[in-house]
Amino acid sequence: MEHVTEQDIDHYASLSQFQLNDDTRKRFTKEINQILDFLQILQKVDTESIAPTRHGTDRVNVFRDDVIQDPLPHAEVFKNSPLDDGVFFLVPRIIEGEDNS
Amino acid sequence: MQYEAVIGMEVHVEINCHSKVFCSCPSAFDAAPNSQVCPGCLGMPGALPVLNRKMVDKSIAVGLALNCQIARSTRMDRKNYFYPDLARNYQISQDDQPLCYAGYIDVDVEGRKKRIRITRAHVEEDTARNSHTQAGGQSGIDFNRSGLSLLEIVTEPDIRSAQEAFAYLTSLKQLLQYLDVSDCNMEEGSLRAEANISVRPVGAEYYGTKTEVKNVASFSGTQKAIEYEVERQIEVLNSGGKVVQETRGWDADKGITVSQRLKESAHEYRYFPEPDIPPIVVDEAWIEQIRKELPEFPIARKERFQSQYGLSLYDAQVLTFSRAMADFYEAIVSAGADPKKAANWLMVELQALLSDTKLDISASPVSPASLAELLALIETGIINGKIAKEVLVEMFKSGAAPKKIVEEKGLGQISDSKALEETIRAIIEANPGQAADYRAGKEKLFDYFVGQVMKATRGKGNPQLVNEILRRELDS
Amino acid sequence: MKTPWYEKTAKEIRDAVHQGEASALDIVNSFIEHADAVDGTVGAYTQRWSETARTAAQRIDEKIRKGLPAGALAGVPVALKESICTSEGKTTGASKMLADYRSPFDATAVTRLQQADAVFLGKVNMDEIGLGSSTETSALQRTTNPWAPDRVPGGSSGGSAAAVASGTCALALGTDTGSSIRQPASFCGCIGFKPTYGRISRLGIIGIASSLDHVGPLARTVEDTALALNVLCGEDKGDPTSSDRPVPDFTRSLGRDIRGLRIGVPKEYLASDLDAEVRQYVEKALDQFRNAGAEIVSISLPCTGYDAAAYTVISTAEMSAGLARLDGVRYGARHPEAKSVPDVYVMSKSAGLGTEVQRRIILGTYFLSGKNRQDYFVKAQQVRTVVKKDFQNAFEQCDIIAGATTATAAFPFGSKSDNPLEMYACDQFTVAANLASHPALSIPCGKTAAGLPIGLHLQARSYDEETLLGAAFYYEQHRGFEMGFPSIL
Repeated sequence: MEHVTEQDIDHYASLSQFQLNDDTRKRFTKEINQILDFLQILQKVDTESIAPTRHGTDRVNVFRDDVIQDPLPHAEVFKNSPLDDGVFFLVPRIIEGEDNS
Repeated sequence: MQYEAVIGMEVHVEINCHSKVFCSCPSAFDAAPNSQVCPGCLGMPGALPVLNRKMVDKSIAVGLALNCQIARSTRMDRKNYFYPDLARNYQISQDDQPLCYAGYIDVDVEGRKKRIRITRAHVEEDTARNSHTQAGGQSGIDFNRSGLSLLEIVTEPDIRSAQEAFAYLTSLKQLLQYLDVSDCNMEEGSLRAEANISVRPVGAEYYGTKTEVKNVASFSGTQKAIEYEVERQIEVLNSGGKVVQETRGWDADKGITVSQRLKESAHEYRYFPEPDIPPIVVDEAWIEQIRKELPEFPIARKERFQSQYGLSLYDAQVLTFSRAMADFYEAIVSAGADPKKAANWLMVELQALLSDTKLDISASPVSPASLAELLALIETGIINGKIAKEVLVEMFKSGAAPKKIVEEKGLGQISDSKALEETIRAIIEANPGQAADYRAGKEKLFDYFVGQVMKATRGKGNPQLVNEILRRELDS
Repeated sequence: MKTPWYEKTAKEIRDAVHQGEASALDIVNSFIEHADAVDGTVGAYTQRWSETARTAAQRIDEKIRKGLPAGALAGVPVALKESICTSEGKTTGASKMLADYRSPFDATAVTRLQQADAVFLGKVNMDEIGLGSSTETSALQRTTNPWAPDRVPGGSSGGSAAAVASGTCALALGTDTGSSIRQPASFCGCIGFKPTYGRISRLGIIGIASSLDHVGPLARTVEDTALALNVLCGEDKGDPTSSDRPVPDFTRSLGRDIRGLRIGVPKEYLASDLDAEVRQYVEKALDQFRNAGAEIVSISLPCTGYDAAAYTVISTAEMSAGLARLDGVRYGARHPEAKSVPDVYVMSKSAGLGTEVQRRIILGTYFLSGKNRQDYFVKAQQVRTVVKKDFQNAFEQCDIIAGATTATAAFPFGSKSDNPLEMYACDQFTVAANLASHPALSIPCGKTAAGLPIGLHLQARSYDEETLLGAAFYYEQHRGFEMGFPSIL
């Protein structure tokens, strides 16, 4: 039976850009292990040579034509921006190679 | 120990669709920052991607040109990582089922043919552009580039030298331009090349530890960066060190590569199928349709130019280097011009004017039809070659038709024998001494008379006619 | 006393407006006043758009006066879930992260309703981003079950169901990734309809798991549901997963004879830990179908049980990517103390997104990492295929599959919030329809002794909404009781 440790949970949290406090980390570890126990039921299903279902739709080849439409007006572009100078969206200086994932 | 380089290239090419790959925003290069964006480009809630069919068509065309297999059934995937230039924090790309795979390209390395295998070419979207020049210690993000159509072309580690890498890039660019799928401008970023470089003892079967070299702004820069990096790795090994797997940036000013991330953090991209985009199924009919529309490729065209037009290898090579040049040439010929003369005038005279003004052939103010017309004026004796060159300069400046220039400036040759007879008789009368000397056997004086006639006609006398009449009048 | 407008159906309202018997403004005002009176108790509305609603109603009245054609939902007051993008007001997803977010565009479903002359009264509460089964994870406010103030309205479309049930709108729009329309409809005693995947465009819906997300209506009658579906369904070039199949006039399936209709009852559903009262009313509903000449067939759905497991993996994996965009860079609540790019992400996401959202994203990240991708994610996608095949087999033996929407009626606040597994169990009968893409609805089939609504869950073959609506309509006409309105209001 596979279980995750608190360190594992921290790793997956940081991959998803969350920082957990001690209580939450403990709680998530316990809850996620409960969920993983529940998921063992999947192993009972024989999926030998069964193709995965990857989409909700049964359509294929749905494309658009290469036609231009009006982009968002300037005011709409920055309407929700937490920080901008009216030209660029601004973030704290990006340090090349700064590990974000 | 003798080392050899083992190099694989990853090239990102922006494909020249009108709109972006997953939305209808325009894809123009130099628009004001964040003026070509929509909810999709900004990763806003509720926005959905709809794949541009043109991108799939053009990618298949590239695949065919690179002798690739085309996936009959494929899909888009999500590649997950966080970066401020990535609007959704996942990039829509292709993971284990690239649209094109298992191809090759033959390139010419100093007259030697080298086959470089293509691992894959897959469809993805470009990211936004970050600029680090903002005030207050901030970075600015321009999402215009977010969502542009990008094709990533990856080779097998078949390249053995910087020179081969340069030849590969040159041939790839030539091919992409022939396909008219990209302008391949490295400075504008529409073609970006990265090299995976390692070295190993000559004859070894294994691969050494590789580094990835990025940030190169030109083909020659790539060549220099690879040369440097190969030398650097050999030195590291020779001095008993180990090559560290890392990404290195090319510093063009200093001419060195610099480590960008010492710890190449094991990127976990957590790829999975993009549920927003239905699968892509490519049938034989679709591939055939694209195959039918493929242009003749550079190597085949070069050979045909030699056999069909009787051109030298050199001329055929120059004329087929770009599709625009080759098309221009064939348009002149099909307008009735002599193939060899057309080649000369295009490669020498017109090309000189283009080079002086830094214009590409595609922007030439002289059309193939008018160049053919100019050649016809020479052919029919209306102007001579010397005057034709002047006319071409004028055509280049004003865009006017050659006939019109010749007429307006009165540059046409005088082929009216009566008029020439009068001029010539007057000249003989005005030079009785020279005429007598000539008749007495001083034959060299004939040229003197030709010169006088040309002077009097300001060079427009039809040379053949002038000769004929002069001889008759002097000998009579 | 004359029945107030807010108690009337969408059909009655639409007809009255079309025939000039009532003004859309009077109707809209009736709903607004009723909401003024009762929504303080229910807490369904997070945004009230009373002024723009009145203006829209006046425009419809103007049309009628001029003899211009009015739409299929003329004057019908509608409430929209907070996760549906509107250029009017905010689109918060009931999350702190999007507390001030204003969408630059309308969802396609919203545009279609607007073109049909429906009138939007505002937006209603939900579980944060749609993750939850009780609307308790909303960062905005508490919504109570109109039938019992100590009980949850269900979720995630709890506000939509509570608004419909309490008569503060005639129709509501919800979204359903595993149960989110049908479970709250069951808890609040209204109809919740999840059509076939792709019938209604997802463009403009804050997505959770794209391959499972559905948009659908909540209503008080089957006929109103059909009217709403007529307006909402249809291909959208902006959503490549939307269906291009022709859309029938769904109202024509109402009044169908159900004699000979084969209603399958999975033995696994009845074997599960159903609440006794729920079981009693579901069985009573089956008796009514049988008495009307339908054939009740015992069937088997071996996938019962592991469908929920596959759902847990696929939904969390997809959302771990789909919700990654909520980062405070281009929009959303950026943490004021963020000093670096990693800060912007970590601090903004940790503060802006609630516990349930974080847990599921972390879980989904786990399922996609390294070898888990094969062991969990791809495995779950294969199980999804098995689930689809199970249903294909079942639908060879029957036309409708019937059972309870939920194992119990609405539960008290706080009773399940701390136990994710129990909360996920709320979806046990409903997730299969999301995995297999076929249509399903919940329709009230009775009330517990404590007066809590119970929902009957009906499922049909993909694209066969008509059979589903026909059966539900027949049942509604013959079930022998009226849901009515909660007495507490």
